[in-house]
Amino acid sequence: MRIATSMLYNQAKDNIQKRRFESAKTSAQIATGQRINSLSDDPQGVRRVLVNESTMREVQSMERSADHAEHLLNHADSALAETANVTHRIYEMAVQFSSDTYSAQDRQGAADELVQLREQLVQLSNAEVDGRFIFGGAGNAGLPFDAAGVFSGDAGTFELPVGRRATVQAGLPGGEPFVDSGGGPTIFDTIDTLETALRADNTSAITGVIDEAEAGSSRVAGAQQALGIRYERLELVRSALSRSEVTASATLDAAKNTDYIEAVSYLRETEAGLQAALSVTARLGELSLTNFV
Amino acid sequence: MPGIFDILHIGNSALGASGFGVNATGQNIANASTPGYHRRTVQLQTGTPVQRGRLILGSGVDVVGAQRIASRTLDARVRTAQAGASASDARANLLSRAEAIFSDLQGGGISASLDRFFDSFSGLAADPQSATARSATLDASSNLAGQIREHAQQLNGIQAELDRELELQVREVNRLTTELANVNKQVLQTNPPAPDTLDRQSALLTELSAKVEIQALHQSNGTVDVILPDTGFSLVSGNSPNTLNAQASGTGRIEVTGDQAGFSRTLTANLTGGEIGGLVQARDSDINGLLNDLDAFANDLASAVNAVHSAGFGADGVTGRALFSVAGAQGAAANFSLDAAVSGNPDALAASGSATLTGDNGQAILLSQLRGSLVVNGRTPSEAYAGVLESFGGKMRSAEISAISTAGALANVSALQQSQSGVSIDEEMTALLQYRQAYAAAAQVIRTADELLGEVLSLKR
Repeated sequence: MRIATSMLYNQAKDNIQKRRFESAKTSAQIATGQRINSLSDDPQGVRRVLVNESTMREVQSMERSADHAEHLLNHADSALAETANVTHRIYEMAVQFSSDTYSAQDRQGAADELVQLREQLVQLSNAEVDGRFIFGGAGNAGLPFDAAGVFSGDAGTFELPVGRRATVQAGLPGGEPFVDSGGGPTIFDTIDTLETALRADNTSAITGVIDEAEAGSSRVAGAQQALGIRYERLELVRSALSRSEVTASATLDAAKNTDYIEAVSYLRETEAGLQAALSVTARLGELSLTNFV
Repeated sequence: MPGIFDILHIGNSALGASGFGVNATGQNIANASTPGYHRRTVQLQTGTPVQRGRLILGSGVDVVGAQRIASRTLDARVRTAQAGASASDARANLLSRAEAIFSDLQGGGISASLDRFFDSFSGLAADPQSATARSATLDASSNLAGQIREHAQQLNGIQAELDRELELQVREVNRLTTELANVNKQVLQTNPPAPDTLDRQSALLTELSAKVEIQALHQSNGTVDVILPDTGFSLVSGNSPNTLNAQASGTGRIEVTGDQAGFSRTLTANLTGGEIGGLVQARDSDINGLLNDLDAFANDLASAVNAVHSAGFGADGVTGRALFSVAGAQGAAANFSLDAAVSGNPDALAASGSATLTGDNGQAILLSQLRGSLVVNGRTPSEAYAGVLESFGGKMRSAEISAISTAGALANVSALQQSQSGVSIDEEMTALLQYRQAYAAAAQVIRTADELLGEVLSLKR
């Protein structure tokens, strides 16, 4: 084949261009640490990167929700622990003062203590964390219990999103355990009945309150158990979330990040090629008849 | 018996032939890099013999002329390859321009805004009554709307840029066809046509092919007619060019039209190849496709979000408000904005599932969980959006691959053409040496004849 001079130079130019392009691309992969720097580098890879990045952000958002749920549950738990002490004390008082060994004066003193306990319970039932009433239900419409212990919240349970279709309950149904969901007397009703009976020094009436007080106390224990179940569920959710995060992160890493060893050795290779192309081109002029005549 | 003047004549013709050879070689060397130039070879033949008595004597050398080494077939293949390579290259470059507006791979863009949008509803679910959470959610919603809108508007802007570029390219085509028509006129001025004029013609045809794919119809008189291959629309006929027009059409895009037999016809879709072909494909197929995908995404997203949002209740207890407004499926992305009922009014965000319970977060949960629902074309919003970019990236990739392969094809066919018609400096240097030596020898012949003549003249003394 006859070789025209322009062919040599065009070919040299094309070769250098091609090698430069390859080494620039590999350099960019190394410098940015990203295997994909343009949508066209690997279109399916782009989708994998974007979807997994989104999954990571989604999981992180759900983890924040789970954290918040735990925060709320922790507050509910400590409020319940105090409530349990109070309700237990009330039950004890009912049992204690139903006995004939106590005087009317003792019962008056107990009634006074009961008033204190009642106030403490009202406070606990209106416990609040970050603007949300722990026992107020889902609606959070103002103080759930008034001074008389009348519940004005809703029966809903506050939930938080922790999955594409999953929520966790970040509290108890509104009013519980202070209110009996079965429609029985509230703990405040029980206290009122007990106080009246104590002040009236009526032991049979006090005895009549024991069952009610026990039921109240065991409702609180039940609520504590219910919280425990919610904690367990939260833990399950958390471990599922961290598993998805690990999976997404691994897929993302494979799709997105530069394999440095591969990239650097490829860069070496393209640079060697570029060097060869440059030196051949520089010598094109040497091998010409013009240099010999 | 040959006369001395016969010898002088031979020497003279030899000098002329060598001189012509150096001239042609010089022309070749001078034009070694000129586009469209085809190398010349000197055509010599022995002179017409003369009879002197019984002897038949040579009369030196006749210069027939310089032959232009050209193959129309190869030239045509170069033009086709040129049209293909220019189209792919232009398309790939223009698509990179569109790609530059997407910063998703750098952690920004619509992907990030979409996630922030859903995150903000998770945040609102945690505290639906907080003014901070509400305004953060409104910000995130407005940011998402802005991102989608700006991307679509920037793509529209690129299409408008391409409109202006198309106008310039059409002007360039008209300049080339006008010049080709002029060259056709010049071709007829000499017979046979001057090789330099044919080179100019060839260069113009190749230049035109870089703009748009053409078919060249060579006429027996050396002129060339140019038509668009599919339609047969004539661009140059003899010495008259048929200029194209670029004008705004009903769609708002610039379309290319031309007059044929008194009828105006739209040619945009017929301009396949060349920079114009690449530009039209990028503008009307690739970027338009991307915009349609974005519109479909935006429309589905808005419907899904609005369906959930309008079922919920704002902090003011009002229900039935949409969150986004798209003003129709067509152009949904470019018009994507916060609905007027919600814009600037954080309390209008429907976090609650109940008219009376303002602290409820049921609707905020449902809105945050839309991110995992198959609401956009059977996929989750972020998967669907990633799919939009995947499909555009696929188009870019095929444009880049085609740019590489068509450039390779052009290089190959150009090499074939150059192998035949291109100038080789070494070859010309060899010819130069040859002609120089021949010239010196011819001079020696004349000198010898002169000496012979001197001898004859000295006889008279």
